[in-house]
Amino acid sequence: MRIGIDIGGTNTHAVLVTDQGKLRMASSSVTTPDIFTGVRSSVGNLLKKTSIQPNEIKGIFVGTTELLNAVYEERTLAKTALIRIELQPSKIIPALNWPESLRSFLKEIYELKSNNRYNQAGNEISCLKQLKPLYKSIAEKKIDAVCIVGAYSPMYENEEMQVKNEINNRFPDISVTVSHQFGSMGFIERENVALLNTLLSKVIRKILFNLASCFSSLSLQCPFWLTQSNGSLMTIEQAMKFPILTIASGAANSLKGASRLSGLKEMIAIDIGGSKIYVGHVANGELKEMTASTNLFGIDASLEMPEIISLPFGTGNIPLIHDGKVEFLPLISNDIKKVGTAWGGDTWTVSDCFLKLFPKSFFDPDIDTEKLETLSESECEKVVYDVTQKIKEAIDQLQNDEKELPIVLVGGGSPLFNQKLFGKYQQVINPAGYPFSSAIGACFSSVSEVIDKVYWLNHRSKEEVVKEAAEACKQAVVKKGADPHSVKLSYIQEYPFEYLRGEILRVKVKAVGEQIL
Amino acid sequence: MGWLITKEDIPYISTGAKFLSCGGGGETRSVECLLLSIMNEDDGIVVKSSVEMSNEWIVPVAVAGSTVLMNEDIPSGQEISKALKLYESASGRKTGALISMEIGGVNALIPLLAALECNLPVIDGDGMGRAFPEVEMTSFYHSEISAVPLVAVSKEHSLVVTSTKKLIDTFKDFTFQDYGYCHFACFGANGHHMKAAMIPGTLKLTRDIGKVLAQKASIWDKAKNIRHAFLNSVYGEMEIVFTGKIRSIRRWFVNKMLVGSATLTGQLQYHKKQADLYFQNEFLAFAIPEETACTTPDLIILLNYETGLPLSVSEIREGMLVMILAIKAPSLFHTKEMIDQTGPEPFRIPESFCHSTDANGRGLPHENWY
Repeated sequence: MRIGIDIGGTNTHAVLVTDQGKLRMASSSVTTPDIFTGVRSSVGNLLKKTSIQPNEIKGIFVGTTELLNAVYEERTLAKTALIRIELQPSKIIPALNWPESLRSFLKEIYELKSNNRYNQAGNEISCLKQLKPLYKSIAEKKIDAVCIVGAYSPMYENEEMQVKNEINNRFPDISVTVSHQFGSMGFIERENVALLNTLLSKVIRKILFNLASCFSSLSLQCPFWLTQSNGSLMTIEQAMKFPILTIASGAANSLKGASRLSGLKEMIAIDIGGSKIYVGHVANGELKEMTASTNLFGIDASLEMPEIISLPFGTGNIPLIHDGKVEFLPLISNDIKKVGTAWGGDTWTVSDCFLKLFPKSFFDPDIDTEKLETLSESECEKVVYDVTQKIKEAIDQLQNDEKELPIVLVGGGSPLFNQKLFGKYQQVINPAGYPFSSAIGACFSSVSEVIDKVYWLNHRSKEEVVKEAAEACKQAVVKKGADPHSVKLSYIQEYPFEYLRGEILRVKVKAVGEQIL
Repeated sequence: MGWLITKEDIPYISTGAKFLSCGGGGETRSVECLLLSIMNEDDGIVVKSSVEMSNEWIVPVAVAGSTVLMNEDIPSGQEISKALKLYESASGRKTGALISMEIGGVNALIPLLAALECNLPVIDGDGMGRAFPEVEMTSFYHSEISAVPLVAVSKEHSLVVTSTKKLIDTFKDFTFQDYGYCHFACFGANGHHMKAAMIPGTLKLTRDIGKVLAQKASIWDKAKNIRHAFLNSVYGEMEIVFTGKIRSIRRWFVNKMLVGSATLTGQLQYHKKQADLYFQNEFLAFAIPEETACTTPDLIILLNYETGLPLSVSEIREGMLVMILAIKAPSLFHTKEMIDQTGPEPFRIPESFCHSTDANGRGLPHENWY
C-alpha cells in the first residue's frame, strides 16, 4: 500500500493506492501555509476512512508546487552569496536577466582564480583568503546559503568541492550549492540554475521538516520521497540538496497520473487547473524530455524538464473580450466557489462560460444555473471556442503523425470540457478519479539518473564511450534503489564541440527504473 | 544611411545572427550577456553603411575556436580591445572602424564589443554573409586583402604573426593550446578596398531578422516577413523548402571532427516526402531525393516549428518538428574561387546530396528553386 500526495496552490490531495496500482481511497483538504495542517488532514482522512494501519503503508510520494509558489511570492528565500571560480573575472553580471525581486536575494559576490583548462584539471586553488568577509557574513547571519560556480566544473569538480569543503568545515550547517551537480557545460545557464537552487535552500528545509513531523504524528514510519519535475523520485537528502529540481513536478505528475487513471499506454494528457492548463504526450507512463534550455521565470536555465505545453490560463481566470479577441485576467481569490457566477458570486470566470453552454457537465449541488442567465450567450460561446481552440493547437503540436492518439482530460476543471468540443478526435476520456491525477501520478514515479559528461575518445570508438556512459548510468539507478530488472535507458544524446578539432564528445544519458519498496 | 545600435537591439542582433549562422557560428549567449552587462541604456554604437565608407582603416575582429568552451570559460570582456591595441601597434595604423568577419553566430557581436570598449564605429557588412568554419572562407581572403598582421589574444597569452607562411597552422595551434578559443584581428584594409570585399548590409539584416523572430506570430508569418527582409539584400530569394519531423540523426567522426546526417519525414504540404540533411559545424546540404537539392555556399536554415526560432546543429533532436529554409548566397560566393573554397567539394559533402544537373555540381536546378 502506498500514499500519493499533491500539495497544490489551493488544495492538498491524497490518495491511497494498492500495490497492484488500484485506487483505494482519495481525500482532499485546503492547502495551508504551514503545509503540515493540510497534509495531516488529507492523509489522516485516508487512514480513518479505510481503517488501514499506518504500518501497512510502504512508501509516501509527495509532489508539490510549494517551491514554485515560494519563488513567485518571494517568501522565505535564502540570502545568498555567490562564489565564482574563473580563469579571469568576467564583466558578465551574475543574475543578469533576473526579475529584480529575485536578484535582490543575491547579497554578496566573490571571485576566486581557477586553474582548470578544458583539456586538464587544475591544481588546488592555493589562496582562499578572499573568502574571509564571507565567513564573517555567515557568522553574522547576513548570508543563509552559498552558491559555488566554477569554470569547467562539469568536467573537473575538484575546485568547487575544495571551496565547499572549506566552507562546510567552518559552518557544517550552512547550505552550499555546487554547480557541477546541475550537469551541463555553459557557465551562465548553470550559474542561473545553481543560484535558483540556493535561493530555495531555506524553504525546502522547512517543507521537509514539516512533512516529516506530520507523518510521524500520524505514526507513519515508512520512507517518503519527493517527486522531480522530470517525473522521478528524490530522497530527502537529495531534495535537501536539489530543491530546484522539484519545481514543475505537479504538472508532470498529473499528466502521468492521466495514464494510470485511463489505463492507456499512449495518449495526449491534458490537466485542466484553475490558473493553468498543461498538455503533454505520455508514452508508457513517461513524458518526453525537453532538450533545449528552459526558461524559468524569464531566466535561461539548463534544467531537465518534461516537454509540457503550458497555457497561461485555467478555468478560474476572468475572460475579457477586447476587440473581438479573448484575453484572460487572473482570478484574485483562490476559491472559485466563493466568487464564480455559477456558485452565486459576481465574477464572470471561464468556468461560468462552460457551465452556461453545458449546464450539466459538472455535478455540484452548490451550482445555481439561474444566475448564469445573466451572462451573454454569445460571449460565453466565444470564450469556450477560444479556450478549446488553444488547447486543440497544443494537442496538434504533440499529436503523432502516424496514428491519432486518444485525449485524456484530468484535473479539477476537466469535466467542464464536453467531449463534443473535441469533435475531430476519435477518443476523448475524462476518467474517474480525475481530480486526484497529480497525487496518483506521484505514486508511480520512477527512480532515475542522468549522466552528462564530456569524454576524450583517446583511441576508443565513439560507440564504446557511449556504451560505457550508458552502463554507468544504469548502475547509478540501481544504486539509488531501483529494481535492477526494471532499469532501462530513456535516451542517449550526443553533443558536438563545434569548431574544436579532436575526438571530444559530450554524452548525456538518462536511465530509469522502479523504486523497490 | 548610418544608424545607432542601442542596448535593446542586442538581443535582436543576437537572434538574427543565429539565424544567418546556418546552424553553426557559435553560441552567442555569453557575448550577448557581456554586451548587456556593460551597455548603459543611453549607449549607442555608430553603424556606417557602405556609402559612408572612405579611406579610414577598417579592422575585422572575431573569436575563433570552440564557443562551447567560451561559454564555459566565459570571457572577461577585455580580450578584444587588447587584441585591437596589439593589432594597431603591429600594423602601425590607427583603426577607423571595425567590421564583422562572420555575421552568422557569435562573430556578429564581437565587433560591437570592441566598438564599445574602444569607442569606434562598426561597418554594416561582413566577410561571410553567414557562418563558415575557416578563416580562408571569408570574402576578405579572396579580395587580395592581406591576412597579416594577425593578432590573437587568449586569457593569458598573445600571438602576433607577420608572415603569411604557415599562418593558419600557427594560428590554430595558438587557439587550441590552453584555452580552446581566442579573440583575434586580421585582414585590415582601407575603406575603399573593404567596401569592394565585404558583403554589405548584413548587420542591419541580422537586426531586422531578429525583430521578425521576436514577434508573437506564427512561424508562417515569420517566414513571410523574413522573406521580405531578404528582398532588399544582396542574397537571393528565401524559400521554404521543407516542413517535417526529424526522424533520425546519425553522428560520426571524420578527421577528428564530429559530422552527421539526419532524415526527415514531411508534414503538411510535404506529407509523404522524405528529406535528407548533412551537417558538420553548419547545415551544409539538404535534399529531397529526385526533387530538390541545396548545398553550401547557399544558406540552409532550420527553424523550430513550435517556437519559430533558429536551431543550431547541436540543438537538433529526433522527433523535433522543423521548417527548413534555403537562401541563395550573395553572388560574390558563386565565383569559381569562392565555390572552390566554400562549395560542396572542400566540405567533402557526400555524392548523394549533389544530384544537380548543374555543371559545377552545386546548387539547385532552377525550376525547383523558384
